[in-house]
This record gives sequence, C-alpha cells and structure tokens, in this order.
Amino acid sequence: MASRRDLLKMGVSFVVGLGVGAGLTSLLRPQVAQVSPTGTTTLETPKPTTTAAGRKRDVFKLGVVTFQTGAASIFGVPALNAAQLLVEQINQAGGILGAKVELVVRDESGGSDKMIAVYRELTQQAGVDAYIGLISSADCLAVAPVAEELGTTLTVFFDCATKQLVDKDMMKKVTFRTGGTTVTDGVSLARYVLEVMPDVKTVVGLNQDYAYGRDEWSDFKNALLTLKPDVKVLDELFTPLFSTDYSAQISKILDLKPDLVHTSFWGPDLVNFIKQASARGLFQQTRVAFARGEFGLYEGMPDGQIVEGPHYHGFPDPKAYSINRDFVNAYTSRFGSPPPYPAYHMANAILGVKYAFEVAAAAENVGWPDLSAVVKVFKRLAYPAPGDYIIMTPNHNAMRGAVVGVSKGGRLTSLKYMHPAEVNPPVGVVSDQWIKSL
Amino acid sequence: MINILVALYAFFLNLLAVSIGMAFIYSVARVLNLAHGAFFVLGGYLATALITSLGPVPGALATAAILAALPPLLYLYVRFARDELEQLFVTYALLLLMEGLFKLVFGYGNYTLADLAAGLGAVFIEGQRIPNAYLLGGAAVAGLMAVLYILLYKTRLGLYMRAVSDDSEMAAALGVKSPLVQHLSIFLGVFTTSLLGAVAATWQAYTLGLSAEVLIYAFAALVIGGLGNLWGVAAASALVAAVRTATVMVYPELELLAIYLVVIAVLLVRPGGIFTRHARVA
Repeated sequence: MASRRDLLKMGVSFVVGLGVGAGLTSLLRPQVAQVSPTGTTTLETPKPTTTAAGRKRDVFKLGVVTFQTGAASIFGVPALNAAQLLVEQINQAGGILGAKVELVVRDESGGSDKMIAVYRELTQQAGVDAYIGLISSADCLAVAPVAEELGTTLTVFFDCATKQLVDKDMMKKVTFRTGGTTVTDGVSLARYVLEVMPDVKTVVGLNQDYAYGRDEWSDFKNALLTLKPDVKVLDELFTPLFSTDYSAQISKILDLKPDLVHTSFWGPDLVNFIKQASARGLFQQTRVAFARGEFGLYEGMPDGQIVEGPHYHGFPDPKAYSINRDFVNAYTSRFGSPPPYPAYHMANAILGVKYAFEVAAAAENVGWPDLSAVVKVFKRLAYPAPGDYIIMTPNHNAMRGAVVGVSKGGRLTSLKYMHPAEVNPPVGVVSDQWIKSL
Repeated sequence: MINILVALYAFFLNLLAVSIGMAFIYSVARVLNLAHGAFFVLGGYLATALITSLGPVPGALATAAILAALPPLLYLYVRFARDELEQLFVTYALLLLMEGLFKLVFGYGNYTLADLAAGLGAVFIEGQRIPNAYLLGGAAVAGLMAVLYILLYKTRLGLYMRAVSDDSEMAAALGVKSPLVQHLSIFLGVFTTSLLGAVAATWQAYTLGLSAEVLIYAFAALVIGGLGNLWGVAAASALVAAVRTATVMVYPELELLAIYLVVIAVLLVRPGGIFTRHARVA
C-alpha cells in the first residue's frame, strides 16, 4: 500500500519528468503547429534545408516502403535490394540533378492505418523529396487519398495492382503508379491461354480469399469468358490467406477434372499448392495458369504450366537490350539469384522518379523543378527501364505490357510479350466495361 | 470418395500437428504460449536446413538435438512472467523476437522438405495418388501421441503432471514439486511442438510470418477441444477437418469462416469446449 508521502513523491516525479521530457523534445525537434485547410491540426517539423525552387540540392531523400517482415517479404526484400542497387548506380553516375540519393526505408507491415501514419511521418517529418512504396492493394487505397490531400510529395506506387486506383480516378495530383493492374494480369493470361489451349472447355479458379485474389480471378474469368464464351467455369475456390494445407481443394479439382486451373497464389501458398498438387498428381491431369507463378519456377513447378510474370528476367532479351542485361548481371552477382518481378517494379518506380525530375528541370530550365512541374512531366513521360519501356498516361498510371510463358526446367519458355494496348483499358474507360468489350 | 478421405486426413493431421504441443503446455503448466507458432515454424526451418545440407539421418538427429536444447531458453523467459497477463506479453515478445531471428538466419525464402518427401513415392487407391509422406507423417504424429499418453497415464511423472494440471496448490501440499513439474511440461510441450513442425515440413513450406498464422489454428483447436485437454484437441482437429472439407466440397465461399463457425458453435453449446469434464481450479 503506497503511503501519502509515496503518492506525493510519485506525483512530483511525474510532473518533473513531464517537464524534462517536454524540454528535451523541444530541444531535439522544433515543431510548429499548423492548421491545414481541412481543419485538422498537424504538427510539422520544418525541413532543415528549405531551398527555394530552382536552386540545386545536395541530397535527394527518397522514401521507400515495402514489406521487410512477414510472408510478403518475398516481394519486399527483392524490391528493396533493387532500390539499393539502383540508387548506388544513380549516385555513381552523379545522382539526380547532381543531388545524392539517400534512401529512407520503412517496413510495410502493420496494416493500412499504419501506412498512413508512415506516409505522414516520411513526408512531414523525415521530409522526403519523393515517396515510393506499397505492395498491398489495401495499403495503396488507404494512402492514395492522404497523399492527394496533403499534396506535398511526389508519391509513386510501385507494385500494388488494384484497378480501383484508375477506375475510381484516385490518382490526380501527386500520386502515380508505374505498374499495371489485375486487369493487365487477367487479360494477358487469358489471351495466352487461348493461344496455347485453343480448345479449353472447363476452368476452375483457385485464389486467396481477399481483395487481390478475388480481383485476379474475376478479371481473368471475365476476359476468358468474353474471348471464348463457351468455356465453362466448374467452380470458384477461395482459400484463406496462408493456409498450409490445400488437400481439400486439390481433391475437388481432381474430381472435377477441369482443362485448366487459374490461380494467383503467391508466397507460401504458391509453394504449398505446387508441392501438394504435385504429390497428388494434379499436374498430370490439369494445366494450371499462374498469375504470380514466377517464384514457383524456383520451387519445383512442373513443366508445361502457364505463368504470367508482370516481368521476367529473360525479357526483353538481355542479349539485345543492354539495360536489362546490366540489371540482371548486377542483381544476380550481388544477391545470388536473378531479379524477380518486384525488383523490376521497383526499378520502374525509381527510374520514373529520376527521369521525371530530370525532364522537368530541363523543360523548365531550372536547377531543381518544383512539384507541379514534375507532376506535369511525369504523366506524359516514357522512359527506358530494365524490363520494358514504361509509358505513363494522363490518368497517372503506366500502360504496362505483360510477359507470359510456359514453365520448363525452372525457366519460362515460349515467352510472349502482350502489348500494353491489348491488356489495359484505354485512359478513361472503366476496366469491367472494357473487358466486356473485348 | 477416396479424394475426400485424403483431404479429411491431411487437414486433420495438419491441425493435430499444429495444436498438440500448445494443448500440452496449457493443460499442465497453464501457460498460454503465444510463441507456440514460432516454435512450430522453428522446427520446420531447422529440419529443412539441416536435412538438406547434412542428409536425412544426420540432419534429423541434429535437428532433434538442437530442438531439445532450446526449451531452457523458454524456461528462462517464462520465469519472468508471474500471471497470465505477463505470460501473454512475454510469449508474444518471444514470437516477435523469433520472427526477427528467422529473417536473420533463414532469410525470406520458403523452406520445405516436400521434394524429399515426394521421393518416398505414393500408394495408389482407386487410381488416386496418396503420397507416402502423408502416411509417414500420420505415423509420426500417432507415435508422439502414444508417447505422450504413456507419459501422462503410465508413469509417476505423468501422475504428477495430471495432479498439477487439476490443482497445482493441492499437488504442492501433497509433496509434488509443482513448479518443477510445470517447467518440465513446458520443455516437453515446446519440444513436441518443434518436432511436429519438423515432421510437417514434409507437406508444407515455412516462411516469414507463418508463426502467427499457425497460432490461430492451434488456438482454435484448443478452444474447441476444451482448454488444456489433449484428447479434446484430437477430436477438435477431426471436427474442424470434417467441417472444412465439407465446406470446400459443397459451398467453398464459406471456407474462410469454417473454422471460426465451429469455434462459435462449440462455444455456444459447450462454452468449456467439447471435452471439459469439470471446471478447473484456477
């Protein structure tokens, strides 16, 4: 039982502690309360180096947010690897407009509310000059409105594939995406399936039960049914994310005997499905089309399966296209394996930021362009990246093609590049309407 | 038909492997081990890494040796926790710590012995392949259950464990060294958990973030079976496997909810779980 004196002591030390704490904080970080136009009060730390637009800078702070923990690290780690590799190369070549690029890295784990907090922290406190991030669609959908409302920082989504960003016109001011959508995946996969299996009659969908899995399936299904209306969907299976056992689904597919199974499984789910389905002989009976199968190539994927990578290191042919050759060589020699598609996605975003700043400075004839100039340039920019020429459009999204192939001995063969115009709706057309018009 | 039976069996095995260790620790030591999934995953990681680099027999022996040496770590840790709330903090912190260590040591790739297991071949029934790895896995899990049964019901230590499980103060009053028995059962539970994780590596892959997923399934089985009842966990696994397989066959839209629906139904009908005989003394 605490006596009154103890309570008093505690009270005093509490107050003293508060005072010391407050004093220290104000010493460490000068903060200015600001009332934003929307009426919410935010604490902002003034940037230590407020340079006027136009003058050259020494440092370009680039915020990068990808998964560094949890199952999605399988995407996040290669993406960050690529970011570090490219930033080193850019710095060796003189940086962006003479400014040395410094990465400010954050983990994407923690959910979309946390990603909003991280976005505010990076843009308002760490003062990044550009933000690149986000693998999860939910995170992109949460951060996009915040980025647009703040409007302070060039924001590039490098990987998330939700079509809502374009269908709902959510990227208008400072937000961009240098990648395609689930529509790109679904339509390219459907077109390729019909090329190699023109007689396909029956299909079963096997996808993870969350927004991404459902989008991938519905876009693929709608495209396939539009392009070949007599295909029958025998079943649509949705599994909880990170199930470790797929025996029930495999049993059902074995009993249904479809010509084709479509799956957008990734991470441990992809590996578990490949291993368990191989053990049960599923691949001898049915062909599988993988929307995210690239990682499965290194995990014993049987030959003859159809795999769509948004990118694949064998395309464009490294012998012909030196930008890809240099990227593959540098990445492989440093990290021990060829760059998977998230590494390409990161390259697309980083090079996009670099070119947007450089072209804007040249167009405005200034040493350092302001944000509005960068945005104006970025939405009409086309630039070379390791996996493709990236073409940005006025809806702030890239017109991305896709690479599809057939697995053979842990590699993709019979690669086919699907032209952006054939696998994406034109600017201003809603995805579902466009798929129905194929 | 045979395909449905295989699905039932595989999921049952999967769930049982995931939950036995947690049930054991909870039943005797009353420790709700939130790091349970991490120990399961650790077994899988270690077995895969060691067996692929050293070969099957030396790899398996090395795995077992390392796993047997690990429980003291948890012992040191759990000693700090005096009540349930502290246990939750302490074991959750351990989960995060271990996830960090996994990333440091094993990286972000997938670890599985499925390829090795595929080499064991398969038996054909009605033209369907049934992998031998499933059958061997089942034998391993059944063997472990048998060992635990003999330990609990045929040995003096087992008698003490059951006594401590029912009422640790009364057991202590009668001369049982309750804390020692509890610590021993934590050792055993953690060891069992990671061994089963190693066995499960023959049919599943391990990667970062799996510890928390495993925990959910184990916890569901624990709640359905009746907190701290080893046989209840087996019955719960069978029940969940049946409901899940039926869901996938009849109405796959509901699969995400299947396990939770079972939990809710059981809690509504028998709040103590299926196999609770009498209220526990705190």
